[in-house]
Amino acid sequence: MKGMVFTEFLDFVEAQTNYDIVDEMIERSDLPSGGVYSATGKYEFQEMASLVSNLSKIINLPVPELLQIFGKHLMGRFSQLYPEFFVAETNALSLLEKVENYVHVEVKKLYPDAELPTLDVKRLGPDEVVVRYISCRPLGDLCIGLIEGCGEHFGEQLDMTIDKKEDGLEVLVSRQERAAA
Amino acid sequence: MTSPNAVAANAFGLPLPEISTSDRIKVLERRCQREKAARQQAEKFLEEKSLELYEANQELKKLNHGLEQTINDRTNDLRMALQNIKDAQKRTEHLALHDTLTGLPNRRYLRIHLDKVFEESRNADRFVAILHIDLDRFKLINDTLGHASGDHVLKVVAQILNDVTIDGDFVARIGGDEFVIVTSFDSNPVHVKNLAKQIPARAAKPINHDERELRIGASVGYAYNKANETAPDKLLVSSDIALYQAKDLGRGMAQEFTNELRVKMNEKKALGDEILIGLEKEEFIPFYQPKICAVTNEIEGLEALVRWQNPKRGMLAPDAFLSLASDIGVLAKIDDIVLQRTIADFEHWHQLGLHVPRFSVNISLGRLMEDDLLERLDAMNLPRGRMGFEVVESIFFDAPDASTLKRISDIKDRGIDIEIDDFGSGHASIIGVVQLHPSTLKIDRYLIQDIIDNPVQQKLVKAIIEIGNSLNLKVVAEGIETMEHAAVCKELGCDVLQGYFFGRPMPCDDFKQFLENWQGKAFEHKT
Repeated sequence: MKGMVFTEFLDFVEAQTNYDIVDEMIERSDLPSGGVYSATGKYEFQEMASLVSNLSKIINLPVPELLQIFGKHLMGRFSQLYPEFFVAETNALSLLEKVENYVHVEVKKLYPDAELPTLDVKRLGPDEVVVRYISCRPLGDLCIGLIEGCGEHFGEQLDMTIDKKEDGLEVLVSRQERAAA
Repeated sequence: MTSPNAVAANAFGLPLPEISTSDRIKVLERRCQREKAARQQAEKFLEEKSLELYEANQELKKLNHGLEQTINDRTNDLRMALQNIKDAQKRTEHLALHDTLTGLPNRRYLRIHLDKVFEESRNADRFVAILHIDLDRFKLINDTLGHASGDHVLKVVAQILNDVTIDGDFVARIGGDEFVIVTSFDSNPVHVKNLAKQIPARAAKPINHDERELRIGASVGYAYNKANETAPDKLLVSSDIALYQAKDLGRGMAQEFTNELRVKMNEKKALGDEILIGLEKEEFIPFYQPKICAVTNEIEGLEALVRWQNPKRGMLAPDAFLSLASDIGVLAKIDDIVLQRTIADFEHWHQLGLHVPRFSVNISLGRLMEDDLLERLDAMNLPRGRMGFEVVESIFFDAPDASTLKRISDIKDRGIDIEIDDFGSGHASIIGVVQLHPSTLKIDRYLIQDIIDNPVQQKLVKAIIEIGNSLNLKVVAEGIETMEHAAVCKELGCDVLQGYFFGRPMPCDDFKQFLENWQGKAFEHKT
C-alpha cells in the first residue's frame, strides 16, 4: 500500500485526536516498519489493518465508521494534492465516472506498482450511478467514505444504497438537491 | 497542551480516551525517532530517485545526441541525394540538348535557340543568319579509316567552328557530319560572309591523327533574312538548299541562298520523287556495252550500265540521276536491280547458246562497304568466276584500310573479280590499288581520246599497260571510238577494247542481236 495513505492516516489521526493516541496506536500495532512511513514508500496493507483496528479499540469506534470518516477526509486531501483531476469536472457523479479510466490510469503511470481497486461506474440517469467496487482488500467502507467526500467536494448531497459483496461493494449513488453551502 | 480527554470537535465526534503515559519523554523520543527515520527514508528515496533521474537524464542526453547525429546524417544524406538528383537532372538536360562527342548543342537545342533568337531579333528588327555546314569526304574517312578517325575529325571541326565564331553565335552539330551556326546582325552581313569564307579554308587544312594526315573539306550553305520576314524553319530550309548547291559546285565551297536555288531545288525534289516512282515501276534497267578481245576479236565480256527509262524525260544516263539517287538513299536498290537483271540476261543468253564469257557492273565505295552487301550477294545466283565489280580508282585516295581489304577479299571469295575503273584519271596511290589485287585495270577514256596524235599520251598508256602486265593484270582500254583508237591500243598491248567503235551501251534485246551478229566475225570484218 502506498506510503501516502499511511502518512495521511497518521496525520489525520493526530489532527483529530492527540499524539498520545497516535503513539498508543503504533505501539499496540507492533508494526514491522516500526510506524515509520514516508509518503513515497510502500508498506504492507496488514500494517494499515493493524493501525485501524487498534485505533478502533482505543477510541472505541467501529472499524467501518472509522474507515468511512477517513475516506471522506482522504477525498478532501486528494482534491488538495491533485486538483487537476477535479478541475475539469462539475459534479461528483461525473468524477466517479472518470476514476477507473482516467484517474487510475494516471496513477498507474506515476506508480506502476500501485495496487488499485476496480471502480466500475454505470450511469443510470442524470443523477444516478451504480458504483461497483472490487478489491482484494476489505476497504469497502473507505470507498463509501471517498464517495461521500466526493459529494462534499462538489457541495452535493449523495444518497447511497449499499449492497456488500464478497469481493467488495455495489453502491447505488443518487444525487439529491445541492447541499446548502 | 490539550487535554487528552477533551471531547474535541473531532471527526470521530467521540470523547477521546486518556492514555496513561508513564514516561512522556520516551514517547516523544520515539516520535522523534520515527519522524527522523521517516525523513531519512524519504531522503534515501529522493536520493535514489535523483540518481535514477540523473542516469535517465544522461541516457536521454546520449539518445538525444545519437538522435541529433542520426538527424544530421540523414539530413546530409538527403541533401546529397537531392544534389545528386539535381546533378543528374542537369546531366540529363545537358545530354538531351548536346552532342556527346563534340559537346556542341544538338538539333533539339538548335530548335530552342532558333525560337529564342528569332523572338529577340523580331523585337529588335534584326537579321538572323543560318550557316549550314557539311563535311566533304567525311563518310569516306569513316568508312575507310574507321570511326575513331571520323570522331577525331568531328572534334577538330567543332573546335574550328568554335574558333571562328564570336560571342553570341550559336554552333550546333545536327547530324553525322552536319553543323549549323546561327548568328544575328543589325544590317551588315559581313560576319556571316566571313564565316562562310573562313570555314571552308580552315577545314581544308590537313588534320593529323594516328600518324596520318587526314584531308577533309567543308561546304557551307547560308541564308539570312530579317527575323520579321521569315521563320526558323524557312531559313533552315534555305540554308540547306544553299548547302546542297555548294556541294554540287564541288568541295570546299560556300554558297549563299537565292530564290533561283529554291526553284532548282524544287526541280530536284520532283526528280527525286520520280526516282522513287521509277523504282516502283521498274524503270531502271541495265544497258550492255561489249568488251572485245584485242587479240582474237572475240567478245570478251560486257559492262552493264544503268539507264532510266523516264516516261517524261526519256532514256536517262547515270549522270542525270545517280547522285540524286545516292542522296535519297536508293542507290543500293538501283545497283541490285541492275545486277539481278544482268545475271538473269547473262544466263538467258547462255541458254540460247550466245556466248559471253563474263560481265562487270559498277559499284560505289559506299555500296562496296555496306553492311548487308555480302548478305544480299549471297541471296543472288552469282555466276562465280564470270563477273566483276568495277571500282572507280579515285575512291582510293589513300592506301585502303584493313576493313576495306577484308571486304574486297570477301567479295573475291564469292567469285567476283575487282576491276579498277577510270585508271589514270584519279589520284589514287598505286600501292593502294595494287593492295586490292584487282584482276583488271581499265584505262580512263580521257587518256585514249587524243592518243592518235599525242605521243606523250601514247607513252603514258604504254606505261600503264606495262604496269598491268608486270602485275599480271588484264588491261582494258575504254573510249575506243574509232578504228585508229582500236589499232593503236592493240599495238600498245591492251588486252581488251571497249567503246562506241564496237558498240554503244544497248538494251538487252539489242545486245542479244549484237551477240548474234558478232558470232564468228573477226576484228578485221568490223573494221
